[in-house]
Amino acid sequence: MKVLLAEDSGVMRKIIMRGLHSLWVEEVVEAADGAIALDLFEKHGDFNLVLTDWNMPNMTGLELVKAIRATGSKVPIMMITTEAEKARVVEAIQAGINDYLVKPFDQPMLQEKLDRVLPKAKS
Amino acid sequence: MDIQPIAPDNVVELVQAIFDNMLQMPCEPANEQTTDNTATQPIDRLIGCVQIQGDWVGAVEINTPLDLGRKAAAAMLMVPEADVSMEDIQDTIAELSNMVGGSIKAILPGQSTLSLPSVASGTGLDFKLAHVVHTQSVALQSQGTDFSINIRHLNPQP
Repeated sequence: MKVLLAEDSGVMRKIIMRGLHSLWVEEVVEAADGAIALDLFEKHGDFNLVLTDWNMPNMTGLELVKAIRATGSKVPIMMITTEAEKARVVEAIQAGINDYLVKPFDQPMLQEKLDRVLPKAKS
Repeated sequence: MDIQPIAPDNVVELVQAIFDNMLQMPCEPANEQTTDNTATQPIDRLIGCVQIQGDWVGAVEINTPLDLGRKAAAAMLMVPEADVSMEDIQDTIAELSNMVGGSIKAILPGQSTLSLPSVASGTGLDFKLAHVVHTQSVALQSQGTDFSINIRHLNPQP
């Protein structure tokens, strides 16, 4: 199981990594913005799951989702973001995300979402 | 210019939800006088700020003593306070301001976008934004320490 995590906040990356490790995901590749994440995705491409923030420097999470989908990849993508408005969620779904987690969240909420999206990634 | 203040009770509720979920640290309204103009107090402080652009134009700041910033970082990372670095604290305040700004944006009318967060830290901070036409300050307290959320209404056509 290999996960690409795109998040500009170091603290949020640590929190999400903790959630992933508790679900026995060992290989997590971190990216501090969307552009780095896309570069890693294009170079490695064998990710089972992509987790991305929305607001990041250089390339937003939404642009990252569109770029990944433009390659034809069907990798499950979950957005973890403060963008809570319905219109934004719809925009992200239309771009091709599989799941959406609004910040703030507590650890059980993160675990539940990851648990839900990870089996899809395994299949 | 017609200023439409955001109900302080809404701000308190949103911040309480963030503190409960992300930090497991309760917070409650504090006496306004104890936190207003806190930037002039000669103690180490942090100010995290995000700007909102769109149908509503403004900025949301979290203004906190370093001590509470350290407690928040330790709680968020689930590590002892002694293990928290200054970078962790700044990152935590940036993320908290991002969440507070994002939550406030979600209750504003119309469409708007959120900037990336920025953080300033130091003693006797004097943080100023250009084109502010109105400031709302909501005083809060957590772990016995006062902090504030400042909502700056900016002139959309400076």
